[in-house]
Amino acid sequence: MSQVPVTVLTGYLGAGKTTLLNRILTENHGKRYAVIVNEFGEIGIDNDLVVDSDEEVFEMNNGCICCTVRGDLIRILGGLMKRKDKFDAILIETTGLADPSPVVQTFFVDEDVKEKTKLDSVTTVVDAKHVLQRLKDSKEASEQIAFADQILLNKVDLVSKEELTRVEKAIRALNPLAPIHHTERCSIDLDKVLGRNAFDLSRALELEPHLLEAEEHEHDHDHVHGTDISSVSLSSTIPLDGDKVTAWLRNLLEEKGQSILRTKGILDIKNRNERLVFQAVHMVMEGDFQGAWKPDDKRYSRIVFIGRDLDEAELQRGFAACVA
Amino acid sequence: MTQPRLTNGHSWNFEAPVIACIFDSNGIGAFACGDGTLRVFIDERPPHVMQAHRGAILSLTVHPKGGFLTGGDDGRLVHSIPGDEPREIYAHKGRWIENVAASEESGLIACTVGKDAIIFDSQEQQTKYSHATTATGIAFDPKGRRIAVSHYNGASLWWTKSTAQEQKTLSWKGSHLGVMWSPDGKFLITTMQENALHGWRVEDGADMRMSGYPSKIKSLAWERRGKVLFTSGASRVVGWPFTGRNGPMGREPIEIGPDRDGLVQVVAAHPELDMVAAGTSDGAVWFEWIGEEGANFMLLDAPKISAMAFSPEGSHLAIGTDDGYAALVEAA
Repeated sequence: MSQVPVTVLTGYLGAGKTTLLNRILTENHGKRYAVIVNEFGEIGIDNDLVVDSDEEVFEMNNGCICCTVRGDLIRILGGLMKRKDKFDAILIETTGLADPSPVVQTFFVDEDVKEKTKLDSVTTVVDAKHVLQRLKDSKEASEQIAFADQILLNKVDLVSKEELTRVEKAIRALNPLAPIHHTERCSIDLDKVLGRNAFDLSRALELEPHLLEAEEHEHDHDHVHGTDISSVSLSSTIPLDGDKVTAWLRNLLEEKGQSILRTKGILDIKNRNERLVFQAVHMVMEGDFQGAWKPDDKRYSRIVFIGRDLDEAELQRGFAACVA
Repeated sequence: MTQPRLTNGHSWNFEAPVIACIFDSNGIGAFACGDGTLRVFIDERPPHVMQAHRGAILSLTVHPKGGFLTGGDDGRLVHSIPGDEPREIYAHKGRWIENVAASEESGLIACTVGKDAIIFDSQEQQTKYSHATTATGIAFDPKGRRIAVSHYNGASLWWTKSTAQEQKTLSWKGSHLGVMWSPDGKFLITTMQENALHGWRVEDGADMRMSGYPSKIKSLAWERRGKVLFTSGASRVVGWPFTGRNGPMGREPIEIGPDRDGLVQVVAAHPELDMVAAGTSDGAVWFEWIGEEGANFMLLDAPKISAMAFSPEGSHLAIGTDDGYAALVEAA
């Protein structure tokens, strides 16, 4: 049975999430989408494709302290799968103040959710006009950008070219990987937003071309003033020891997984002709060998960490010790 | 998938997932489906289709006054008596009614709506009981005088007769997803988000943990004397002994049936014989005599068995599948 793709939509209040959802529900696109919302009030549409839910976050009793999931989503996704008419995709709207982690972890932790659905992407709607102010006064705004697999930079018609450059720079500092789509009133081809397969490791390179870009420096640390979230990017042209690097990542995420939001990487492992591609949400990591290096490829390894209070020097030391 | 061909029974294609099935005490059966229909059947005659809900039916039980009680994702609680139009008892726009319960003994019915459990008396007057988190399951005790409601961090017990009362909660950390009483009313059992069951001795709240499963437990059935609780969630049926004051505490469960690749999704206990039936994730149904090896197999070529029920005398087993097939087979 095929799994229904689920897009998690985050974004600060007023960024344009509701505009996007209303478009998805009313436009004549020939697809059947279900939308799970938190507040009925915000979305102007009342039909049976809109499901209201109470955000119910709980901790799993699996010994993993940061492993929180959304109980309401497990129930609702299970219920939607019982309908006769199946959905092309499901969207989950999170409130402007919500931490996206429990939503995302639900898709890795619950066996029923994993069986019937798959996480397609975390998509964050950002208001170009107000985002710089939001980043200063709200920790959620930076978290939502940091977490994103793709960003809809909305209301670009309301800012100057210079302002837009500043905004993009701030976004890139929090999240160097996610593609940024410029929109006005959230006007974008829905096929670009939905069906990205951002969690499909075999598509990691295609989706995040920035992972492939050769770095000028061996490492990079970006920071936005006013937030404790930053990204650290590490790279090496010398192959890594496979056992060492997996052990290092596992320990690191176990210890610091609460403050590391997302990790993505592509690794050149000694004596392996395939790339090791991996990604993690907090402590939950998935990795696999995906596709061989071509003879004329410039082989290298690159890991990007996005998180709170990242200790760049320590990450750098840990990574350097994995060189074979 | 192909429609199952059975040598000792009959099958139907409903073209909508079968969510649940049940028989009333007269042997009239009903399948609840994902297209909002209730398919009421007697023997192998074509089922009578009743459009009880607009969306999917999410819960089904027998109504004490005859007919069937269902809750749906259209937010409605509906009483369907064959021959009449389905009648709405209650509606809450925008909410799902995921759990229903009824007591033949007290004539009461109940459902969950969000964080509330609502009990309806024979005049359908409502009493509402609220909880801190979503009410995920509801069950009447054997006499129909008390309800148990599962929720996050435990289950709450409410008397159905008195209006002013304090919430009595049996606590256990974690997300509890469904609830069931033992037939003697002495134990309460919940299914959990983790691959485990939790139990309490009602008299003193003593905890019982039943774990070791490879997947979530979604189906429970009591052996006809109420001495063993059969459970899904493993490759074989796991049965916990509930004899004596301590129930399964400190005792090993029994395992019944063949060890197959597919996991047991649904269990049903024969009402008159020492026999258990199981439906699996790979579309098999088997029967086995308790204490004797050698299961009687039936492969349905369905992706997953989603519902099963024995007829009142146990002569037939009704079976529903995730992909919309249903069957009625001779069981003994």
